[in-house]
Order: sequence, then C-alpha cells, then structure tokens
Amino acid sequence: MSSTLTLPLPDLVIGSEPPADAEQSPSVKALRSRFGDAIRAVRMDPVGTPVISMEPGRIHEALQFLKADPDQAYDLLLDVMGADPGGELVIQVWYQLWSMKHGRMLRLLASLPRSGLSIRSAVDLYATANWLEREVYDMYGVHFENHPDLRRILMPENYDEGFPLRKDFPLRGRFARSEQVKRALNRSTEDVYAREELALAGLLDDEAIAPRPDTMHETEDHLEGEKMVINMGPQHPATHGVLRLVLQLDGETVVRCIPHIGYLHTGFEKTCEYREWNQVIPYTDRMDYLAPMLYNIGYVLGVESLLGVEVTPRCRVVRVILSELNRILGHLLWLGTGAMDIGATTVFLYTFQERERIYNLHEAYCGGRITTSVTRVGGMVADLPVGWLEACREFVERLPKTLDECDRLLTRNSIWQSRMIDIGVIDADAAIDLGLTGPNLRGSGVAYDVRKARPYLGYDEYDFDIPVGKVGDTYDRYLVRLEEMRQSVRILLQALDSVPDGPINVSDPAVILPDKSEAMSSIDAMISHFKLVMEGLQVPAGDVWYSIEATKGELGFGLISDGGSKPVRCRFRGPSFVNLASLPHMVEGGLVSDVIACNASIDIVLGEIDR
Amino acid sequence: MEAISGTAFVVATIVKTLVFFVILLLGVALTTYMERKVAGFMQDRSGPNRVGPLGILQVMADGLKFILKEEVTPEAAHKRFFLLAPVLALFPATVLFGVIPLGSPLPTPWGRVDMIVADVPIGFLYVLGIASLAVYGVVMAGWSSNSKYSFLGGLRGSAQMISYEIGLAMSLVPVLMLAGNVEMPVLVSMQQSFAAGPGTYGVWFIFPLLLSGFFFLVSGLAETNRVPFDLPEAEAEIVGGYHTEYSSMKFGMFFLGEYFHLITTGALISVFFLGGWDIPFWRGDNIRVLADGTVIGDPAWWKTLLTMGAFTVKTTLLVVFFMFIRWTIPRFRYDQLMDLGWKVFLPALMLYIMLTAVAVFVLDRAQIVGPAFAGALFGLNLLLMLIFLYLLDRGRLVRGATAKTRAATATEGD
Repeated sequence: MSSTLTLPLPDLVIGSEPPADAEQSPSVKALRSRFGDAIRAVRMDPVGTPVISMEPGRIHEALQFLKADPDQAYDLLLDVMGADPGGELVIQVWYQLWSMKHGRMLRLLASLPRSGLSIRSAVDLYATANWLEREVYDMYGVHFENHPDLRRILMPENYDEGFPLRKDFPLRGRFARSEQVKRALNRSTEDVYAREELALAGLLDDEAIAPRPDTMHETEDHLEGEKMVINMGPQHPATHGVLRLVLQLDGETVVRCIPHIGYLHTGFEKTCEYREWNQVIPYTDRMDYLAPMLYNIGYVLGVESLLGVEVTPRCRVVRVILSELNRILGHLLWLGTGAMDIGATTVFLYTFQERERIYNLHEAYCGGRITTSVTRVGGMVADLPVGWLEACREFVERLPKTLDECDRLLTRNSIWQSRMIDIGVIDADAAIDLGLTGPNLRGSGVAYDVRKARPYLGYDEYDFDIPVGKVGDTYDRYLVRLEEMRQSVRILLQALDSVPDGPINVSDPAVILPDKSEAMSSIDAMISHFKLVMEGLQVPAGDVWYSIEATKGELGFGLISDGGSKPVRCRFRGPSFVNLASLPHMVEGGLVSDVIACNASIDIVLGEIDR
Repeated sequence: MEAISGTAFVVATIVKTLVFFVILLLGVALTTYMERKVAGFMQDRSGPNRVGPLGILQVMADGLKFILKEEVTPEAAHKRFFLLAPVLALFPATVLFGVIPLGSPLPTPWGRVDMIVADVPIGFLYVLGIASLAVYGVVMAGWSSNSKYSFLGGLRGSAQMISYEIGLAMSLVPVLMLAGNVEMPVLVSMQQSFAAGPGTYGVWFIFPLLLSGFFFLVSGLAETNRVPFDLPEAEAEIVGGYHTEYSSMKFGMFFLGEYFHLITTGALISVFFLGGWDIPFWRGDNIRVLADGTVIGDPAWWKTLLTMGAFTVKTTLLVVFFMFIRWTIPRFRYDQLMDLGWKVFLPALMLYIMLTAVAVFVLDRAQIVGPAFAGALFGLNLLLMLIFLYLLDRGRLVRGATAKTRAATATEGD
C-alpha cells in the first residue's frame, strides 16, 4: 500500500566524521580566526562535538556568523540549555548547533557570573530560541536581552520562590507547604491568568503584549466585530494532555493562539540531580510515556558516552528492536488520536489493538507496560525471555495489515484530505528556523533524521529510507508518519534476523552489577556488587549533549558529571517542547477545527514538554 | 370499507398515539443499544455485554443513570431557556412521527383504521415545517448555557441546520412532481402498482429520483447532527458543543433527541423513496385509499402486521447505514460543510429540479406512463448521479480553504 505515497527521494543529511582534535574542526578554526580573543577554551566532548567556551558578550555575534557563513551554515539550533555546575559561581548557557549542509555539530558555551546573569537573546537569529531561552530564564534566572517575551514558561508566571534549577535552590522548594498553600489562596484571579490573555480580553492596557499587528486577521469588509477569547484546555478532549491554548477568535477564525504549558511540571530535571545515574531511568519513562523505551535508551546512551562504555553487540540489536517497536507505539497513538480528533473514531480502536500487542511485548520483557525502565547503563535490565523474539516477529509481520487498513480508511478519504491538505503549512526554512525535528521537520521536506545523520546503535547497518513530505502541511506529516511505521517494520525485520548471541550486558564490574550467583561465590564479584550498590555508578567528570531520534523528533540529553555518582545536570531536550512552539505559526489565520488538526499533527506529549 | 368515524375514531386515535409512541420509544432505546453494538462490531470489540443477556438491559441502566445523576445548572445560565432547550430538541422528532404511515390500513369491526396517527392533508409540508423547529433547541441550548463552547456549538448548529433544511426541502420537489400530491399515504401508493384506479409508477421513488434520494439522505444526515455533520457537538473541537453544560436527564433528552431524529429520518426516507410500508415483489399488500374513500386492494390484519414489519426493516437498515457512516468517516470542517450545502447542493439541486421538470414534461408529452416513465427517469438519474459523484470527488469541489498553494499538487498526488 505504500504505493499510495508519492514521497520524493530526499537529499539526506549525513553527519561528517568528527575530527580527533577539536582544533582541527573547520568551525573552530573559523571561529578562532574571527573571534580568537573571545574564545576562552576549546575542547571535544565524548561524542566528538567541539565545545567552544566564549565570552558571553560575543556569543550572539558568533551565532550570527555561524548561521550566515556558507562554510558553517549552522541553521538548526537544537538546544539552548542552562547549567549550574556549582562551586564556581557561574551559570552556563549551552547553544547546541547543527549544520544541515555540512552535517556538523557544535556547542557554544557561555559562562555567566552569578552577579551578571545577562546575555543577548538569539531569538532574532533562531525562532526556536524563544521558548528555549524562556526555559533557561525560568529555571536559572538568566536574563536574555532583546527577548520579545521573556516570561516564565514551566513555572507559574507569579512563582516567587526563585529559580528552581540553581544549585542553591532546595529540592523541595523554598517555602514550606503551608506557605505555598497560603500564597496560592491569596492570589487574585488576575494573577492566575496570563497577562497576554488579559490583554486579549481587553482587561489590560499594555501596548507591548497587545495582539501582534502582523497576525491581525483582516476582516474583508472592514467590519470590526467583537473578538472572542476562548480558553482551550488544560482540560479539553483534544489537547492531548494538560495543554492550555488561549485562542482569540473572530467568528471561527483564529486570530491569535497562545499556548501555555507547565501544568504537568514536576521538576524531573531537578530531581534527577539528586538521583544516582541508574536511578534516573524511571524518570525517563514518564516523560514520553507513549514511547518510554526510546527515552530509556537515549538516556543510557548519553551516560555510556560519558563513561566511554561500548555495549555488547546483542544489546545494540535489542535496543534497536525496542527503539523501533516504540517508534511504532508512539506513531500508532498519534494516528489513532489524530484520527479521533478529526472525527474518525474507529481508527483509534484499530491502532490501539496493535498498541496492546506492543504493550504485551513490553510486559513479557520487563513486566511493565507503560513505565518500562528497561535499560541500565552498560546494558539492559535483563536478557530477552525465551520466545520473545518469535512473538515480536509475529507482531511485526502482522502490523502492516493494520497499517494498510488505516491507510485505506483515511489516506484517500475526501473529508480526511480536505481537513488536512494545506492546513498548518510550514515550509522547510520556517521549519528549521522553528527548530522542528522528527516527522514534523521531514513533513516539510527536510531529510534530517538522527538515525542517518549521526548513526547510533549501528543504525547505519540497516537498510531503510527516510520519508519526507513536499509541502509541510498536516497531510504531509500524516503521510510521513504512516510511512515511518512501515520503515520501522523494515528495520525490525532486519534486526530480528540478526540478533547475535552472547551476553546482553558489558562485563565491566564498575558499570554493571555482577550476576547474583557470582556475587555470592566470588569475592571479586561481591566487592564490585557492594561498591556499585553502596557508592553508585561513578561517571567520569565531563559533559555531553547526546541525541537520538525519538518518535516526536530529536531527543537530546545534556548531561554533566563531576565524577560522582549523581549527575550535576540532567537536561532533557524533549522534541515536543520545541515542536509545540510552532503551533501558533500553524494555526493563526485558520479555523478552530484547524487548531485541533494541527495540534494533532504536531504529535506532542505533555510529559516531556512539562517534565 | 368505510373509514372509522365518530367516537370510535377518537378511541382509535388515542390507542394509535399511545401504541406508536411506545413503539417509537422502544425503538429509540434499542437504537442506542444498537449504536453501541454496531460501533463495537466495527471496532473489533464487544460493545455492552454486562447488563442482562447480551447487554440488552444496558439501555435501562443508562436511563436510570441519567435520572439519578446530579443535575447541574450553570449559575450564569438563562434558567428558563436552559430548561426549555432539551424539550425543544426532543419535540420535533417525536411529533414528526405522527404523520408517517406505518402500514397498510387495518380492518376492524368499527371501520377501517389507517396506520397513521394524523393523516394531515398538508403531508410532507408539515414534515418540513416541524423539522425546522429542531434548530431552536440547539440555538437555545447554545445561547442560554452562557458558555463559549456552547455558544460556538449553537452558532454552528443553527447555521448548519438552516443550510441543510434547504437541501431537505428542495430534494423533495421532484418527489412532489412525480407524486402530484403531498399526502404521505398517497406517496406510498404512488410507489405501488394497482390493477385499477389512477395510474401509479409501480416502483420505489429511489429509482426514478436517485439523485433526489441521495440529496435527501445527506441532508437528513446533516439534520440529525451526526458524523460527518456533527459539528455542533464536535467533541474534539468544542468539547460538547451546545450541550456542554447539560447534565443528567437534560443531557439525556438531547441524547434521545438525536436517536429520535435518526429513526424519524430513516422513516422519512423509507416513505419518500423506499416505498414506505410496501413489500417488494408482492402485489397482495398493495392497498390504496382513493380521495373519494374507495379502497383498492384487500386489507387484512396480517397484511397490516407484515407491512409494518417491512417498514421497520427498511427504517432499521437505514439507521444501521447511518451508524456505519458515523463510525467510518471523519467530520467536516465548518466552512467546508457550509460550502457543500450552499455551493454544491443548492445549485446542483436547482439544476436537478429543472432537469427533472423538463424530463417529466417531455415524458408526459410522449404519453409514456407508469413503470416505463419511471425507467426513463431512472436512466437520466443514473447518468446525473455519475456526473455528480465524479465532480464531487477528490477535491474538485470540496477542498481545504486556507491556502491555495497546494491546488496543483493535491490533484496530482491523487
């Protein structure tokens, strides 16, 4: 049935082999020659990304150069993250960049003194910096000059306990519970609502946050009617979780859309700093609970890169199998709920039957269905049970039938097409500017997939294609995801044929707990067991920004270790967080129904947005 | 046989009203059960199966639940209209049923009893008039709830129902041309064949008026506010639409109203296009009462039962068809729905009415009558239907409305 797709063959973005020495990197050379005096240090991180520490004042200039210079062309800003390594009284801001053209990655690092937490905003260069910088501001209090909308994003706007991810902020908050309740009760209603919303409703005279003139909907007959502000969510059947959209409507036309997030914020990143490396894994489940194993795998891959541990061949293939199963799991949920949002209820049940089968495989492997926590640094929680691979193969072989069924039901359905074609169009340049990744970016025609660009887990050994769209509308994103599931089936069939025998875990006693029987019989094993349990896994000092291709896009892990058993910083770059920021660009000017279609097509999961 | 009159008429009418209403209520209850069973069947699951054998008592459990649930009236709602709206939603579908002939006349010792509660001379004009009232329930509910989502739903509902009201009415004009009468029993007899009396067509109107039947089916579906026309209550977009704020039995009345509407629409399609209570391929049931009171045919109580059975089967099949549609396709967007109603259906219907008028005129002049007349019209309709479906298909008329950038690729990709 893939013949219904007329997807073009993409020009793939393939990453180049990183040079052994950071100074050899062409980007570092170019920056040295132009900003030599501003560069404080240059090093290589464990995955071969040059890290350039610069004067904060020159960062914006350097970003501008890196984006504009054709020899650099760092057009995708993957992440802006803050970090508080503690001790040195500085707060770091990381800019993680990727060049589509040259397939190179680069990290700029600004260390700000606590007394002057201010840096120029990169929003004018990369639209995606908007929300990412807001998050850094929210968590660390870094002030981004010239940022158009520097407000808290995950914490409530009137949160007055400080900046949670700073090291001097206690884990449980500054105020006692009673104080928090007291303050919550004393809040005026106006405080609870976002200032933007009040401005839209005409209750606040503030020029700065009045509706943007460029998005003002022009009524054709110049009749200025009254506009309605409607609050979609946080409890709404189609926001896929506790997302709140403030919509300003002119009739049914959306004039302005303001997403509000943070309702599910539980401070995972803060909590992880108080957990040992392996104890972080259960938190990763709960971020993308629709494809939990991808998060499990991505996180341990990041930690393993810090450790310099290479997992066994069997483990690699098993991780690929689990990754692709979870990709299908996530995409099936998207297909079902997306169709339900548009009114086709039955597809939901069809996809959920298949999802149940995957959950059964989860359960057979690790006992958990949704929260799997299936990986360990250096391996997996256990080897595959007997018969699991056969059960998996049976599932994989029957899945295309369901996909074809849904395909036949939807793809050429007139109503389905008219609800999706030309809705929420984002062209390739805008998609890159907005930092979209995953199927959303590929729907816009950019063939960027981490599995091809920077292969991990031996993805380069598998034969699969990257589907891309033509226009970047909702329909293209639908087609891309549908095809991705078929490609996942291809990978799965290859992987299932090539599962090698051998141990699933590395045999390094400093990383993996020894076998229980061995620990009881051999003194060496007992000592290492004792040390690992009592001291925890020791990860050498260093930092890394590691990313994998999750269902929703590029899933990044910014990890800092000081050599101890707990991470100093554990940043999760949830792709949905960045992707959701593009929603207003898609829906403004459309109809209320398009908001639903676009929101469904972005495929968000609030767990990783709010963290 | 003489028609029933005097006191016996009054008694018969009361009995008929009670019996038909109970049948209808029972039918609605079973339809809600059937809807879930059909949905279950289509979605590879069992549907209700806990309460009673095969879950058939689920209906009672639901009814009980609706009544026992806490009733919430929003503080800011307009209380009087808020209360009136569910009543108005239920009312039209119920009273519509009164003019639908359900079977062949029943002979009794006191005279002939027509199987219709009220044989009003204005026939389907009454149907159209009453059906228009349904919009008041929706608008009133949407407005009086004082909630933005309800308001949007009410607005959508009123616009949609008024638009498709026109399709509904206009698709009946060709029926009028053929039948030459608006009385419902006459419509049924025109679709049967008789040895004596004025000429009839002898075939169901769905054949000579295929396109008309199609338009009526779609407009009727739009009037019931079900997928793909469930925009007034599109749960993914505007939560519950006009009945967002309703709870308990008030919500239950909207819910029942939908199923009343569903059955009534099925029954109307049966009468207009599927021969009403006529049993196909059998002449024994063809009974007709002429305007002067003479009865052609041979009424019998078992014929009445059989024809009522036939009518029930037709209506049920149509209802199941509506359910299949609901669980298969996605819903329209608001502007696409309006485009379809005003820019596609209205002009197409106008053209169709003109063509039918010309065809009827030509066939009349050519002295063609009865089944041959119907056959000729059927040929024309088949042709028109094919042209219409070709034009309607794949983005030629119905298309996304925001950007037109994709026009070329959209057609090329198909």
